[in-house]
Amino acid sequence: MTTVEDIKGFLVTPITLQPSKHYKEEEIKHYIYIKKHQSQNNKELSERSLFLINPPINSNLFNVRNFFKTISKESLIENFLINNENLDYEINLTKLTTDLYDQDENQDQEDIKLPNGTGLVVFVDKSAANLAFTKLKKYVKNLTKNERSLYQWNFNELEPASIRFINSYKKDMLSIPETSKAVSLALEEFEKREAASLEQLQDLKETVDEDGFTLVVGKNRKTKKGILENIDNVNKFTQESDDKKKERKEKQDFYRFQIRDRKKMEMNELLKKFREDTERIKELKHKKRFRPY
Amino acid sequence: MAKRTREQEIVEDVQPLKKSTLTREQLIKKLTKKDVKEDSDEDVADEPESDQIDDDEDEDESEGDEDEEETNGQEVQQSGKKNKSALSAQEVQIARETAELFKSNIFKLQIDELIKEVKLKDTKVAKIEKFLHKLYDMIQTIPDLKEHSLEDAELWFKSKKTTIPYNDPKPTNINYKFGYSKPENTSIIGSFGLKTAIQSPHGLSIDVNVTMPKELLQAKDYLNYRALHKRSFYLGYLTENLKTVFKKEGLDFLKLSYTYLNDDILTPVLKIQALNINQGSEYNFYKTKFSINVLVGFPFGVFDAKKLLPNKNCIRVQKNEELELPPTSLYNASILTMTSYDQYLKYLYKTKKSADQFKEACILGRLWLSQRGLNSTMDAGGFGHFEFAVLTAALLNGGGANGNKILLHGFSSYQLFKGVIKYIAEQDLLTDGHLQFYSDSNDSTKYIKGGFNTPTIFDKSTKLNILHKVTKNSYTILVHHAKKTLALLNDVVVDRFDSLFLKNSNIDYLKYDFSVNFQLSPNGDAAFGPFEKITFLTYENYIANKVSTILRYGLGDRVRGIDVRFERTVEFDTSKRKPSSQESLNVIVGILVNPNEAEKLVTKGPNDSEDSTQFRSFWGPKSSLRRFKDGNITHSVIWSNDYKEPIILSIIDYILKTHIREDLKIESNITNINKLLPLPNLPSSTKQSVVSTNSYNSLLRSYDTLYKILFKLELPLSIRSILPISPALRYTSYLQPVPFAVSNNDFFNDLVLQFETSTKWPDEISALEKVKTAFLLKINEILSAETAYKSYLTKEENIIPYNFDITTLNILTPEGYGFKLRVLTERDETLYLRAVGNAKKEKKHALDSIYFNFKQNYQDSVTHTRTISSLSHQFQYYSPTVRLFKKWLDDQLLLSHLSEELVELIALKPFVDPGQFDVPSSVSNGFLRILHFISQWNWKEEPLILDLSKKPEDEEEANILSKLSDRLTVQSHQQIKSNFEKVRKEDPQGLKTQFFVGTKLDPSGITWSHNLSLPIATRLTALSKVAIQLINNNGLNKKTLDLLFTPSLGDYDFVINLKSIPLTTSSGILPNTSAFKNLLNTSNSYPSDITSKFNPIRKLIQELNSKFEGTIIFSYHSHTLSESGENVITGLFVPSKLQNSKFKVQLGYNFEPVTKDEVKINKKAIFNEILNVAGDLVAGFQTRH
Repeated sequence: MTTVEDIKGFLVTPITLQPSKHYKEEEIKHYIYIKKHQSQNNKELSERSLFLINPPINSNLFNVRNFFKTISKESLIENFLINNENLDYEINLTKLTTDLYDQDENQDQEDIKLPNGTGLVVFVDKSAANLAFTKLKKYVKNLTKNERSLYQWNFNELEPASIRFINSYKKDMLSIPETSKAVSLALEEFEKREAASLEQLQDLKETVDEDGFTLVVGKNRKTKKGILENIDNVNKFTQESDDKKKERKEKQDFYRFQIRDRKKMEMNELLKKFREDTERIKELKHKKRFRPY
Repeated sequence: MAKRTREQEIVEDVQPLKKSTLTREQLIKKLTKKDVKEDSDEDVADEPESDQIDDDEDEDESEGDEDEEETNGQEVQQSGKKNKSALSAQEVQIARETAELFKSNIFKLQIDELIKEVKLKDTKVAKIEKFLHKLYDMIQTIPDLKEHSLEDAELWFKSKKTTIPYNDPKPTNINYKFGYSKPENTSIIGSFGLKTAIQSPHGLSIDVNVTMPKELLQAKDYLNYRALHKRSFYLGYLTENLKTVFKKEGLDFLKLSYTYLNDDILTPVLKIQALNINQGSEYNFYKTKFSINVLVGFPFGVFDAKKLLPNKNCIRVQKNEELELPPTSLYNASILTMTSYDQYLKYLYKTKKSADQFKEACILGRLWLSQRGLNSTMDAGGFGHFEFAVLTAALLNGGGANGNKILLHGFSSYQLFKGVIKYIAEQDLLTDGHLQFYSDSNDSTKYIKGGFNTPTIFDKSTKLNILHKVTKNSYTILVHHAKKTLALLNDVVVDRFDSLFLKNSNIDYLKYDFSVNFQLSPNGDAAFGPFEKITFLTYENYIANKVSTILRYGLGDRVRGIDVRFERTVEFDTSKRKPSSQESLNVIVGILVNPNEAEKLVTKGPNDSEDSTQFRSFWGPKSSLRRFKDGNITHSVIWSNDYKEPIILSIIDYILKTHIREDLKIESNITNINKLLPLPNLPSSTKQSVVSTNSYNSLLRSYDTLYKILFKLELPLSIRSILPISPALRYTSYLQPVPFAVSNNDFFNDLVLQFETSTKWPDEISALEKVKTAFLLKINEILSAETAYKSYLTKEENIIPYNFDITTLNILTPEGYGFKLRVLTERDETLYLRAVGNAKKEKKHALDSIYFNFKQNYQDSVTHTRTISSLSHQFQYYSPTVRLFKKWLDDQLLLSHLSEELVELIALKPFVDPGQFDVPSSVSNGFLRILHFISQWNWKEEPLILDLSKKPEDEEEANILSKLSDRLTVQSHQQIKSNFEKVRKEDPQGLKTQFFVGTKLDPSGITWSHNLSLPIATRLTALSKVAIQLINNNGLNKKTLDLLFTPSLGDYDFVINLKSIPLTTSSGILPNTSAFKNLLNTSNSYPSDITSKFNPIRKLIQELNSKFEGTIIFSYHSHTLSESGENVITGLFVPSKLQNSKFKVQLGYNFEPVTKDEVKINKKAIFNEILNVAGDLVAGFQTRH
């Protein structure tokens, strides 16, 4: 296979993974695709970051650091970001159910949203990042020239898998004091926001709109969105019942033509049904369904 | 309109059967014929416009518009567009008259289509008729043979290859003469003669009756086989001569053999088949698959029929004169049958001429019988299409107590068929009364009170009981079939055509709850003496009668039906006198279990004061006198439960050994199947019946206690309900609940807790969850402070995706059971719906599925649990069946992909909708019926719609409940069906939705199946097909069962063998190596660290799934049950990911570069990654390249 060093602007960086004693293949190459990070949102951060596609499974700051240490000793890494959970960042149930957090919108934009299977290595400064990238290029060059061997990526699990997974059950168990603290903190925070929102509502209550109406606010619902939604629902409901009322008022069998039309419709309905049935039978016959054996 | 009104009268007079009298075609024909005559002048009026009318129908329909319309005063507006909807008068009439018909017309059309399908092909008929004519001519050429004594006759045959098929005992020392002269009559009888014959999978046999001339017989010949021996000689002579003629004519492709007609050994007939040689001959009918039976009959009335009544003896065994000889009803009936072949042909032909649809009704009856494996042979019930046709004919002539007609001549085929089925189902012809009819006159058929304790339809003209071959057992089974069929016919909700006529239900393992077989040697059974011989004629009949009598008495109402059958052959070469006698006879007894009585421990006999001789002598030493709680002292037999052997089997084993032969080896597969279920590690679990729910009841008690405690807690809001949603709380968990068995996946039973209504819940999901957590913390605090319950909180990220704040309270009860509380509030649904409403368009789908998850986990699972647990009470065998089904799925690595609820619903199918079968009353039957159903389920085209309402116990209750009940109505059924059609319209290939399982609770049909994937659904279907095929080919035995439960790992892309983690004991399973281990290993406390007993593989799979979602499908045994603790993980690459792809940032899987812009999946690196994640859990790895 011809070696591809660059694909769509990404540096193709082959490494080898820590071998498993159960899978003996000559040389297993894993490829990381690396590029300087480009982002409009956060210039400062992106200038000193490298964007990684396909980092090995369960990559973390530790083994990413190890890797870059071998490639470029001088480049210090500040952080490693990865989308571990394979989640869609745009789904946030909290935001979708309340407007209490709307004002935070701007803050969120600063969060870095990484697609699944990618990672971001953040260096201490721009020069460290640039240096690391140059060294990486050199690493790849040397590889093709066979002047150096593949870097072996070690997973460095702290504990064997059997223990790790049992422990993850333990991690699911919540510590009582910590949880109570977190809960009360969160609720306090929520109440604060709610209070603010209530104030806003109060204003709404007092404003008279152009038709001279004010919004009636019940004592139970505390957010604008909650109320507006209720109104929508009510509207839907009333419309439906209006339609029903209209229907009932009209007499269906007053004129002869109505009766005749209805009868005709019934007839046609029957015939239509019959034809449908015949069609269905034809179809079934076509499928050879009527073979009893 | 005279004709019309006549038909109308019939339509109206005739009882209000749902599916009406006339087919549409008939009406059209009748009406249009007339109209054509009337309107022939103005033919071809305005056809083209009439596109509202079926284009396929011929012109007749649109003719005569105007004048008919005027007469009807039904002006149809002709202007503009409305012209399109112009209806012809006929159409209006047809539609009116058959308004009823149209609704159910689909049924009619299906019948018409079916009859067309099974009709004999004209070309074949022509071919065979050619040969039949030839055969007739050839028979006429056979020379006469006068007055041969027995010795002369034998001498005549000595040099020939043919033997006379004499009956046992062979004639010796007789003083009557044998002879042959031209047959009095040669005619085609039976269905082919009547033209009611249909194609059948094994080819059709055509009966040709050759009637012996009167002069060869004497009036007294009916006695002592005389007539039969004369007949045998006649047949032998005929055979030998035919052979000569065939040779002369060059018909070398014919194969001749003897066979017993309907397995009756008194009626040997000559069977002519064509072989696949000399196809050139114009007479070779090999391709038609027909065969010809040449019967020899006696002239009608040659014997005094009164002497051959069923209660007369006609075989005078030389014995003590003082002993009264038993009646020889079978012998008598055989002789009478031979005299009346032509008689019945005439009778049925006459009926066919007078009743329009008689022929079609017979065809329906015939199909119905053959799909159920019923026919005229004694083994198969003795009720075949001949008997069906005669009964239909008889009922056309009366049938009520006063001779009132049950069927009318104007009935449609459907009504005739239904009428006959109804009659069989509802009229007792055994003990309550019998049916009497005349085959030679128009005297009406009457139902006469007083039965003969043998099923009877008596022909006064021939003195023959048409049902003489039907035993009491077969009759019970026949009536049972008829009852089920009647229920299907009365079903207005679902189209039952398939179950009625198209599906073969004659499969042992599907129709019996279980079967038992044993070998018997007919030779040397001393009990089969001369009297038995003349009564039963064959050893088979004798033993069938004996076995069924014994079983009926011994099993009582534990069974609903018993079927005794044999494996034997009745065809033999013409050089033999009879088939070679078998060394041993294989007897098969099919059992239909009565689930309510089957596992009762006591067989009660008469009271102490009553005569108990019969009871005691029947049960022998097993019988004992016991005092019961109610103070009665009763003779009784006590049985004991066993986890693998049903009590019925123990009883059969005991009584057959006692009454037939002591060394009988009785085999049944039911034990092998029951043994497959994992046994709970509970005291005396081996002494529990397979339907026992004791283990579940202990869990339910623990739940009740917890419920009471929680209810009393003082919380800011009081508790409104705590509802169970776990499989173990509805009797369907894979493993039975066992105290302290924490490794069991189902150890923690989920409960949904709801507080009283409050307006104070936060209006935001995360905060709402936090408040819920606060409540759980409070409960936790009180529980640990005041009770012996231990509890802790856990984070649950997998209940609802993207809701990371859900917590549950895990409670460990002092009895050793685990519960998991989750909180539901009335705000939840609103909030999730709001989230759906607020979501961006492209995220709608993801949000929908979040809402779906919520509904599943908090609402639908509650109703599901309620329904299933009530149905588990109703169907005793449902719980063990569903457990075995889950085991099969897990052994085949599928269970982890299916929701438990979906599995349970699919498993319900044979129970709530048995169709042509019965409700399963054994684990084996239930399990195999599920497999059979899946193997036939074409889920791309058919939804599974289940009626989960509780079935009323009896009819009275049914009437009361009919309006209140939650039965599936036509409307709701239609609704579900149209939902399915909608789903399929969007997704015809089933890429998104595979299994559609609709119920009244879930008309959407996808609540439990929407997260399935196509490869898994396809695999399930494929595996069940393989399983059914395996059983069909190799039978049901230990070996096939083992194969059935072994996964085929070769089908996967890679297999990881895992380190063994012994979890069996801590899952609460009794190790099957020794039955005594249980007491040693029972733990009665929780491990100090409960998580140490959890299965790490589940977490591993979770991690792998989250990393490789969409790329690899991982499968594993979700329960590690092998005793050594082995497990595997298999992987299957999603096929679409295996192709080369353009380089993209968001590919989402490990890839390697191929060219400058193309990449492909990097399998090797992926394997390496997986193995590193699994780390020391791996014991081996294989991949296929």
